[in-house]
Amino acid sequence: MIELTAQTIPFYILAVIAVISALAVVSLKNLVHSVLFLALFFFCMAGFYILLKAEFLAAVQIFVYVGGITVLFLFLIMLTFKVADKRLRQTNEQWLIAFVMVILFGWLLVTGLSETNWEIAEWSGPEKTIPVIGKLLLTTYIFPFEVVSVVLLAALIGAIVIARK
Amino acid sequence: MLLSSIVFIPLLGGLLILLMNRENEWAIKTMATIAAAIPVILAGWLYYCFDQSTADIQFAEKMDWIPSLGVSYFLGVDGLGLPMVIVTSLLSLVAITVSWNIKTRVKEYFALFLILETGMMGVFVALDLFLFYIFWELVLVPMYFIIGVWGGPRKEYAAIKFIIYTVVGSVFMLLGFLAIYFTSDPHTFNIIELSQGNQFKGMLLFQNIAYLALFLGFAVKVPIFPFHTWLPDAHVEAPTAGSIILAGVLLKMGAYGLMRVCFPILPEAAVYFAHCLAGLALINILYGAFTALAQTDLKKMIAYSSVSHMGYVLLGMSALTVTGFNGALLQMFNHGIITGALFMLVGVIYDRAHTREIAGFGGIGKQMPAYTGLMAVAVMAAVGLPGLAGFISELLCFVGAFPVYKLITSGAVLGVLLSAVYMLGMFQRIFTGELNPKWAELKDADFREWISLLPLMALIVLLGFYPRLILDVMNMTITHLIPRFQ
Amino acid sequence: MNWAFIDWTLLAPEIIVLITALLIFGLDLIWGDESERETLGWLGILGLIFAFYATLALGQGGELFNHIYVVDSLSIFSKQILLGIGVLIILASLDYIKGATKYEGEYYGLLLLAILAMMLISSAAELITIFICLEFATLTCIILSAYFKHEPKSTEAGLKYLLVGLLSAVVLLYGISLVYGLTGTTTLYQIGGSIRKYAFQPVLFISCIFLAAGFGFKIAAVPFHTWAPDTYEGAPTPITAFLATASKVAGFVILLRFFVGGLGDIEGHWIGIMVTLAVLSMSIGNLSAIPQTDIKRMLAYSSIAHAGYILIGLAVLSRESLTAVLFYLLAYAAANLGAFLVIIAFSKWTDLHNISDYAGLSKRSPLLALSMLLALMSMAGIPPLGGFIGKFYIFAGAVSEAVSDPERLWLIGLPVWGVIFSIVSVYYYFGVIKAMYLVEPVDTQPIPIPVPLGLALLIAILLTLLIGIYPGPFLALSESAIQSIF
Repeated sequence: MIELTAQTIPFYILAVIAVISALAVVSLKNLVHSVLFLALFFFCMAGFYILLKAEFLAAVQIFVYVGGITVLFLFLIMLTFKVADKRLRQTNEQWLIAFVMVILFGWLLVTGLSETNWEIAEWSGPEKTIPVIGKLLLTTYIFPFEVVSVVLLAALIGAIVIARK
Repeated sequence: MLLSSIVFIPLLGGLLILLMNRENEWAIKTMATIAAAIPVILAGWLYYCFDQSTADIQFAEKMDWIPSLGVSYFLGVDGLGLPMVIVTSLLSLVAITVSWNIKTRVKEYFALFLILETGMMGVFVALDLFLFYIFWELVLVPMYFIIGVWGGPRKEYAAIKFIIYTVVGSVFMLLGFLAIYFTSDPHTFNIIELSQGNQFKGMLLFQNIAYLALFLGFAVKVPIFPFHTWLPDAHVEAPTAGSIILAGVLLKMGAYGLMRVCFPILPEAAVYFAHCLAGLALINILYGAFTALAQTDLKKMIAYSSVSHMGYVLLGMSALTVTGFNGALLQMFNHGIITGALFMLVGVIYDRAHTREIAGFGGIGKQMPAYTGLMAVAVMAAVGLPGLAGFISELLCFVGAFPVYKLITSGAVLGVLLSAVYMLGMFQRIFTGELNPKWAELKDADFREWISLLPLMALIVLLGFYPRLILDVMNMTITHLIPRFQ
Repeated sequence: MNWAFIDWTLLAPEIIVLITALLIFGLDLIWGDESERETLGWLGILGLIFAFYATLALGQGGELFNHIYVVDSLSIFSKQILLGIGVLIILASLDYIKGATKYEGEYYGLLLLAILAMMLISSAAELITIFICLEFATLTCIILSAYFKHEPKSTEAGLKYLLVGLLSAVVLLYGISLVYGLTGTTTLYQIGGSIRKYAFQPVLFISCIFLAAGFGFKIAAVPFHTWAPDTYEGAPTPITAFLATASKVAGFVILLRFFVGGLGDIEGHWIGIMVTLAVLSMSIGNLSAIPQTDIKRMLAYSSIAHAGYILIGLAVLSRESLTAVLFYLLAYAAANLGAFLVIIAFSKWTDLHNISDYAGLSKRSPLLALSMLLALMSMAGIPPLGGFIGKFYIFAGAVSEAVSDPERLWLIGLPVWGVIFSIVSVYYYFGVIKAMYLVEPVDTQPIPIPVPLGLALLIAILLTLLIGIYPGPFLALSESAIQSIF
């Protein structure tokens, strides 16, 4: 099932790192460590995009998630409540049920995905992805694109209402 | 329009009462009495105009209601429905006159009672299964409130028990209706069409399943053992008028449903289950009688005697003969008026003494002679004394059933004996012997009580001597119905 | 893409709602005065009414942006319900929100945006658009649930909604990516076309589960319901009413559009999921509702149960049953709004939320009690109210399929299961009725009904009655709505 080729080896390496760092995010006791592993996880995601020849998405991933969101998290943690050196327990009494569910879920996914005949497409996309994405966003997907702007407006107003005293 | 008027005039009266001033109790009571009296007059007119020589549906009214579901507003009476319409209108009027002494929440009480009457009346004239079900359920909520608000100490328990039991039955009945509708070809809810053609000939399995679903709904209402346990609770807690209606009309709705829907639409299943029904009838008769024997509470005793007497109805029906069916339907009518009278008489003494313990009385006969006389007539009628109404119908049930179920009918006759024991035993302990000094102040029946009791008493005597008044009405319908079971 | 060919009038209702919302945000900034804030609410109502009027002019509808956004009879039907719900919710909020928060203007603006989001959901026919619209709706609902930020319960409500909402969004997105991987497209009508050539696909089955999880969160079907009780309890009551009705309508419409409209030809992949969700929702929803003491929590569980009944319609997958889904949504929304409007009036005045606090409501405010009675009876499925016809139609659809196709006889199990649990529901609904009518009030102070809320209540209750007594036009409306996808 697992074939090792020049294309798949980097994928598996990235995948292993991604899974480990994701597990670290939800199991480490120190919040700051968790956030740093989250950044690592986001890097791995960017790596997947590069493997899929979507360099622009990879760059956006790093800018927005690593550069923006993770740093914001760090600021929040450092500046509020002095939680930086607090010890957290990230599990509760229901971990066993959750574990069983995860195993079942994983089994379902693995068997399902491996038993399907995927029609694997050869890469035929354009070399430069940015203009294509831009064009799609403003033609075919103009509608969801515009809806997103209203969503952002709602989020902005909501954040003010909830956060302001 | 005659039937619609009978059905909806009480509802109209109820809505008018809701708009009236709460303080003006006299006007509310008068309004309620008028709204209940008009259907009695109309029912009399209906009886007068009714053509006894045909089995067809008369006074039919039909309109499309929900076309996409094939539901129509279809009313009509035949020999099965007419006696029930008469007894319902009569008992409703009696119940409302009895209720003049209600003191709390008068407005809501009478409004609910009139809505209740619309529901009951609708059940007996509806000829569309969907409409039948709507009226059937319309009875539920007013009765819940009548027991729950104006009832005795354990009223909340009794009221919710009544609701849950009835709903359990009726939802399965609804599923049965749906199965009948979708199996019939063309799909129809029309009871007459369904019971005239031979829609489900040879589909014994389907008929049996549908029969059981419907039977559950009707059996809870009758009530047939072992679905009867709501009845004593509801009766004991309900106010007097509520008990009259419960015993006089609501129980008949179950038996009427069997006669109107179950048997004619599913004749093969009716034949298939006839023996079981006869067996259940015997259990009802004997179980009801033995339990009544053991009661110390007067109202509870009469409640269990109802279970026993409804057993005769079932026995008569299960025979699937003309005589048996005639007996069953007549017994439904007679039991309605006799038990109505009995519950009313219990109410009269409870109003004065505030107890229903049989052992607590004694020697009342000297204190309240007129009341005792009335009670004697009702008790004798319930026991089945020849010359009073109960005798004829019970006899017809036994005569109809005996050729078919010799053993069961012989056992059932024991029920008559037992009823004599508990009824006369009760009468003796309450009315004869030394007067308990505690009751020396009790007043005899007053004018209003006489007025409400007299029509029932008159009917009991009249039907005892001349049962053809009712038998002739139903005879043609039943004669046409019975060949379906051959 | 040629912009000249886009028929912008198809978006008129959405644009009107959006502009009204922006206008409210803007005017809120300009008007400093407290007393003028209420005008913003009325402005919102006006905008919604205009938008409703615009939906009437849509005619046959059409599609926009290459089937990304479709305006068909289903989406028009759903938008009309949503706009109607919106008007009633704002009417109910006018008095409730006054003085309860500093951000009154934003409340109405966000409410309009939430309605806009759900209107978009009902028209979205492309997976990315669906996802964005769903998240739009979730986001606005989170903010509105947590609106009373100084009350811990309201904050908890928002947080629960946020966490479960995020989880379901992630699962939904995974499902979408699998569907895209399998078909190479995200537009629903192309997905349907490209999958048709395959037999059973394990991956498609998995993605159906994921998508059902994403949509199931919106309709609060078990096991994706865990947010509902806490969020319903803690959120401002008008928002609870909004979540219980509008969110459910939008969720079911997208469920219909994706599974029935998109994957209707390969129903083998998802029928089992619907059956499972229906059975679990009916049983767990109804059983968990029994021990609840808080009335909003009780209604939360009851709304979960109602999602279960409606899912029967999807599992049966016939013209009748899908029509029943829409009809049921209409009847359910009217009755549920009625109940919540009573709760809004009651809790604003007393600040109490327990069922036992409703003791004697019939004496404190007969109108509120009567409205609640009718709403609860409708939800319990007692005729002649809207909820009864809805349940009847849902069960009728299932029985019809089961009886006519021997291979699908197992479908009969769903309505049987449904009626068993609707009996259970009668018990807890009557718990509230008991408190209102049978128990004496502790506090006899009458409860005033603000005029706008009274108006909304009147509309909801009259609609509940009308749907029950004269369902014809509503059935016709639902039937024409479903024709665009099935």
